[in-house]
Amino acid sequence: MKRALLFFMGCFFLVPTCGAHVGSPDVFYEGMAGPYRLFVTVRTPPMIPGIAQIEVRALNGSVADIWIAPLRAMGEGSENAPPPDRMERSPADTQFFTGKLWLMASGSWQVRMEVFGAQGKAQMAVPVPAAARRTLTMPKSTGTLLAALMILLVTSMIAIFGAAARESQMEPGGAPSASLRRRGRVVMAVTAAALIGILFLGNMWWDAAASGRANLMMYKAPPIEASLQNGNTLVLKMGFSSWHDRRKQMLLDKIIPDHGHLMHLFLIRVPDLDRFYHPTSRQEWCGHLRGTIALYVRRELCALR
Amino acid sequence: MRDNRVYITAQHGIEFWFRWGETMAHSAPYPVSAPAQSAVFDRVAEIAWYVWFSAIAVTSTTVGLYWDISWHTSIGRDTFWTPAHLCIHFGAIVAGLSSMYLILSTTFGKNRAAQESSVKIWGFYGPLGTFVSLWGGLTMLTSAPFDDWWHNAFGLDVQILSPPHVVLVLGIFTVGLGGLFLIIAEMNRANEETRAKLNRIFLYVGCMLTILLLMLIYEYTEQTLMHSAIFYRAVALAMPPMLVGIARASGYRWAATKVAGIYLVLWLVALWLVPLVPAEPKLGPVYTRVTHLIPMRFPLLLIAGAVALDFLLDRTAQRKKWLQAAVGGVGFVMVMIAVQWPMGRFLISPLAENRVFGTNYYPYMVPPSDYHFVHQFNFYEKTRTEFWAGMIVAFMAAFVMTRVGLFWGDWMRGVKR
Repeated sequence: MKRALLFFMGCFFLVPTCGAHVGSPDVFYEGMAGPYRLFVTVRTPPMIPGIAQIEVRALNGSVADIWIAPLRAMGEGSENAPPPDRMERSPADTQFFTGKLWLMASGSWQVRMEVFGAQGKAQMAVPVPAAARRTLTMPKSTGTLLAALMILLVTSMIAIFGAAARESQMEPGGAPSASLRRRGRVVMAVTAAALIGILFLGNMWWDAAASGRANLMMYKAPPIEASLQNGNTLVLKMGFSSWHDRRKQMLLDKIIPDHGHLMHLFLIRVPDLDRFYHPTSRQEWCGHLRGTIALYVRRELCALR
Repeated sequence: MRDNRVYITAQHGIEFWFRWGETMAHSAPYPVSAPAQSAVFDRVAEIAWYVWFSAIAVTSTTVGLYWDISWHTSIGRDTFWTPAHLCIHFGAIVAGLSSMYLILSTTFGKNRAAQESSVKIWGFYGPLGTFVSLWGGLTMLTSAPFDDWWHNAFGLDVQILSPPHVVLVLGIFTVGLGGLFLIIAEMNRANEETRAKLNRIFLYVGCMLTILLLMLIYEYTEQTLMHSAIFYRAVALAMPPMLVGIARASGYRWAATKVAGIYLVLWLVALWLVPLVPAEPKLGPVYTRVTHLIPMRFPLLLIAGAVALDFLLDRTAQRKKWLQAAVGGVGFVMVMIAVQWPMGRFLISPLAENRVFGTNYYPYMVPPSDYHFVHQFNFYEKTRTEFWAGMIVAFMAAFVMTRVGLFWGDWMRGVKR
């Protein structure tokens, strides 16, 4: 009884420290590179451009070496690969490899792999969608350090201007006169005011540059418009997205089945939130419709009603 | 060339030559006031070591920046340890350490004459230029954690004008500015012969600073923008204060022209030699196959504007400074329009697609389908009204900035410490 109580209390206190997330931007891909079966994990960076972490486990065969290179999945950038990087082989597990690649832009990528082993050389390409997901706030320690440096730079700049006005044009020897000292103080005051103004404007520019960069880079899902047609057809239309529009040449706009389904649809009755449906039996893909993507869902809805 | 005698000139009465300890050599005569006369003075008719160090530091950072931009367009992969970054930081280290040494040896050394020829900041003594250089080095250091955080927060950018990059360039620029102040203080105490020698180094360091400013406005001075007001606004804001300030402080004729001439020669040499260095992109996507370092674009014909400034400021030397600034600034922009407008048309034409003019070099990240953008004008201002408003701003900026240059140059002519 005492042990059980301790166990439950332990669980109670551990809960706040536990983490979990729903939906992962990471790519998990199992495929054949010639005779080698590989399980590949690509952890894309939260901000693009950034560095993706790549792990490969060879599930069969004896793999000695893997080289990786990033290419566009389609279009002009899919032809010329940069020189590949060699993955690091784990000394503890010789069939486990780690590496990293720079993803310089959001869009559809492929990680091209060259695999060397006992059964010869083989190739494989892993599709990787990459998009900037979040920006970072400044850590307190960095903020404190930068604030301290800023204060030092500002005060020393004021002192330098003061010395420049007070003494720099004097002949060597002798102390500055009262009028020169006054001039130095006036220049220091003006410099301080100017620097405050510059810092204020700089801060505005920083905010504008940061938000502009975030707006340009951060992934924004296109709006989905849902309508019911003929009582039994749910039409979903993907609306305009400036994020997608800016990257037309870089994005694969084909929908790839996820374990056999083109779409996973979740329906929740609001506001009561008392019904939840996940119909997956059949969807019809109709392709592009006047620049938008529409998905027709028919029979499932009949089943729901 | 050292002796220990008292040097006498007809113009200045009794003057002394002295040096700071074993390492700090001054090469110019100037009247010495009562307290300094009690010190022991030598005559040193050579250029001080820290003048050379200033020139080396600013050269290293400027070359490093050029190299870094070229690295980003041809190789791409970036770490702190790229040779280009090391070159930039070597310059900062040279400037920082030599400045620190000068300040510490002046403050804690026994040479009273050295202290009396210095400015005093927070209890430390040293030439003004050393404090300015040190401030620049510290600013460069500050940009490192800022840039690191910026990259983590907003991605590994290749943008020149991001806030941390501007802090870095400000630091680099200030390191160079400190060198300029060190040299001008020497010049202002030198005899004619040494002054002429120092002037060459002064103009060279001034040219390096001009190049740094040109790199800062590089994104606005493409050939595709030469028919837009933004090009002339950027040039009018950045160039007159630097060229006029240096020319004024130098005091020699055609000084701005010489600065612009050095820039033209160095930039052309880089344009023609940099592509001989093999390189390949190490980042994907590779849109354009690159086999050598990509140079920066064909230089601006700044020399024409500099000739105009030198000529007009010389002709109006007896007039009021505001009038000089108006004539010089407006003349500068008019001449720049006269040369860059047709030059822009030429540079976007197929005639410039060769090794001499270099418009056939494309960074690895430019897809072939975008090549045509380099060969057509990008009209930055979308309406005629916007364009003319921009041009008026360019003329106004040139006028104000020429006045700033005159003020700055006159102030530098008086710097003796």
